[in-house]
Amino acid sequence: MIGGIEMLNIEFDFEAIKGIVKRELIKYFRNKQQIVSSLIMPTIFMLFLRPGFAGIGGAGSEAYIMDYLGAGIICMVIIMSGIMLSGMPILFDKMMGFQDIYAVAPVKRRNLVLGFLIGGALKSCFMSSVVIIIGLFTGLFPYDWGLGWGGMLLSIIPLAFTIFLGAIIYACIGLCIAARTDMTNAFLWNNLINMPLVFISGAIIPVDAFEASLPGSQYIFFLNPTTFMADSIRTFLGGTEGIPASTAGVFFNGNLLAGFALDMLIMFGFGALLFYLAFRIFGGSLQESSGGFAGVIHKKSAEARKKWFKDLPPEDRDIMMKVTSKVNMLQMGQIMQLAGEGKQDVAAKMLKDAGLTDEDIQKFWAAGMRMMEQMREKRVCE
Amino acid sequence: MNNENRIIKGGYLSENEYIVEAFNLTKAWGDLVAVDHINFEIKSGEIFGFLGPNGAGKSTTIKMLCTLYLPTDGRATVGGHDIVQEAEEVRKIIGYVPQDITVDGRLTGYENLEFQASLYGLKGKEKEERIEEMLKLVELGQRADGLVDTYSGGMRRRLEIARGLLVEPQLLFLDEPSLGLDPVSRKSIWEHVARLQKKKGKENFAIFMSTHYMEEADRLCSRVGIIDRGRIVALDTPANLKKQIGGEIIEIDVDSARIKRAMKRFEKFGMEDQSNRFIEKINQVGDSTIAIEVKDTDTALPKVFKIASENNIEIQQVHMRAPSLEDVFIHYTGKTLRDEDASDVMGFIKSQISKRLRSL
Ligand SMILES: Nc1ncnc2c1ncn2[C@@H]1O[C@H](COP(=O)(O)OP(=O)(O)OP(=O)(O)O)[C@@H](O)[C@H]1O
Ligand SMILES: [Mg+2]
Repeated sequence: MIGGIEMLNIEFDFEAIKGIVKRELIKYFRNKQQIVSSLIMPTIFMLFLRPGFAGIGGAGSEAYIMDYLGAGIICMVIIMSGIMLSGMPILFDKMMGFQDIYAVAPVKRRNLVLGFLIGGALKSCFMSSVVIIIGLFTGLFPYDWGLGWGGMLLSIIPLAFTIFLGAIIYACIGLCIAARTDMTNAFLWNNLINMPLVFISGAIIPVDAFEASLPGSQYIFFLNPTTFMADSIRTFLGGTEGIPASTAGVFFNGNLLAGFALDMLIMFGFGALLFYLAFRIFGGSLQESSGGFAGVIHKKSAEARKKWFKDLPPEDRDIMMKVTSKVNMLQMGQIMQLAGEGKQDVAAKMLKDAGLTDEDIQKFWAAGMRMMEQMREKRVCE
Repeated sequence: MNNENRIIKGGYLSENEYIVEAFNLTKAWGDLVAVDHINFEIKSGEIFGFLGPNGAGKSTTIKMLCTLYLPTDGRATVGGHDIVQEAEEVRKIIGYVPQDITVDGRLTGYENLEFQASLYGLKGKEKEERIEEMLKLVELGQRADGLVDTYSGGMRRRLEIARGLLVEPQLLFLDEPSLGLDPVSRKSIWEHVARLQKKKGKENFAIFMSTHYMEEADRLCSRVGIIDRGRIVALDTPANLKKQIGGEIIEIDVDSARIKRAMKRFEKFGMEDQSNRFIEKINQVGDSTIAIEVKDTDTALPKVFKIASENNIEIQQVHMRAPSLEDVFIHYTGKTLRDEDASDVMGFIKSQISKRLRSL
């Protein structure tokens, strides 16, 4: 919870964020092979799925299916690129030891996380925009040109908003994966997480269709942010014939804007949750100690401490529990050492500063002596 | 949380002139204890050197002090700040040049330095000037706009050091800075460090370095710690360390095939017999070289020859000298550093690559 509160108290370090984003983008645009190859798959989808599905369903179904699938393909691009393009560079940095360079820098962890999130999301946005543009201008994507250029421009703003929010969501997931794995296992995790994100959602298959054949299944779909992203994209891109453009809109008598707002709200919820996770998991992985959460690591839980002192007589156990609740383990080691060196006055001052009374301190010394005695006996026996 | 910080600041270790204090500092991975309850402190203005064989725990200590590793036991402060609880404060005053080459190959040299500058809040004119200065220092000005992937191993190392020096920290950690550098680059970098020390004022600048170059440690370091298997076995000024082992060194060259036998003989007749013991210690320092530590060469030399002739040991060369830091090192760790020639750039790069491959 401390992390949650600290997260809201962001002191932005714009220089560092800018530096990280710049590095990510430079490396991305320098790697032409990666850009071109990653555009091939969605293009193939657009080129072959449409005639393919038309062949199966007969005349008329072509537009119907493609209207639906168009948004799904964009979702797929956002998901895959969001996860890959934010996660891969981190894995490389880890492997090459470059991560140490920004981990030792005097930049707050949340600013580092933000930098990588924004960098990854921008790359993913770029990719999905290119796919949309290719789709629109080759006529492979459905767009109701009846509204003309004006309508198109109007729909670009919410569309861009949706895509950026989606890109951030999947970049968060990418950072979490990268923080917890290495190069070897990354592809495994990537696939394991990618597939359900794409397919157990309304991106490819209409939620209604699933619900009709398997009642109750829609609730599983609602656990996936992709469902809402697809819905929102579909509101502004396609979805003109037969299928309600916006599933969420149904709740508002088909009011598309209200539906969009609901989609966005839910995506914000997912975004906030995942941002928190990325902050904890990726931020925490930058070093073993999570410098941002001072003092948390070294205070052991009451249960753990109870176990340590379980062999002591009850009054000794009480005082030990009390002292260790005020003093962390590092300080405890220091106090012990001081006492051993005969500097009990300095040690006593530390204990006093920690909020213990003179009486407590006396009891603590006595208990400490008995513990030492016990330990010595044990060693002699052995 | 505030309460805890107060205890530490008002406590036993901090608030004095030491820039680094380590108190029973320990790092273990399971049963492997890499750093084992070490205690030392470094004053501001010092160049503190860590000498130790491979795997002694030098890099691990440095990484703990740099807030990259969490200590398993004990504690340490850097600039009076606890390395665990006040890691953010520690990071503000340190610079770190890792042992491995970590510059980003898919950026140019300039971009690498620029990225570092952005992390440390350098901007505008100051940033550009600093970067230019650093590129000139390591003689990479010409290649600054080329991708680092196209650099040679030594050039990468130079860039790495330029990146560490760019931010002018109060305390600079250099993990084997001279590894893979030619003598000219080494010289110009140490000259720059001296200039930096002058510019920042002695009391505002300290270096903690680990090195395999004995003469470098001897010449540059104000104090040297010798670390072996995670423990500090000796710590003093280079001069005192040399004085401590005392005496002189006789180096003899023998047939490399029979060196083990020769060492055993010297041990038997020069050390084991308490009544006429004259040898302090015997070490093998090369394929065919034995270093014999003695109190006094004048009386020891005839005895060495006597043992040699009585035991059929053919001495090919004799050399006498005062102990060097390397002898101190061998004295305490029983190992030589000669087998890993630190100036072997290709070997270094190869080991880097195989390390990467193993991690895949
Ligand atoms: N991340 C890690 N996980 C497990 N063991 C480690 C890790 N890092 C280091 N060690 C172990 O800790 C010991 C000390 O390693 P360290 O890198 O500190 O040695 P070093 O003194 O720097 O040696 P070198 O001269 O080879 O650089 C070694 O035995 C090493 O295998
Ligand atoms: Mg090392």
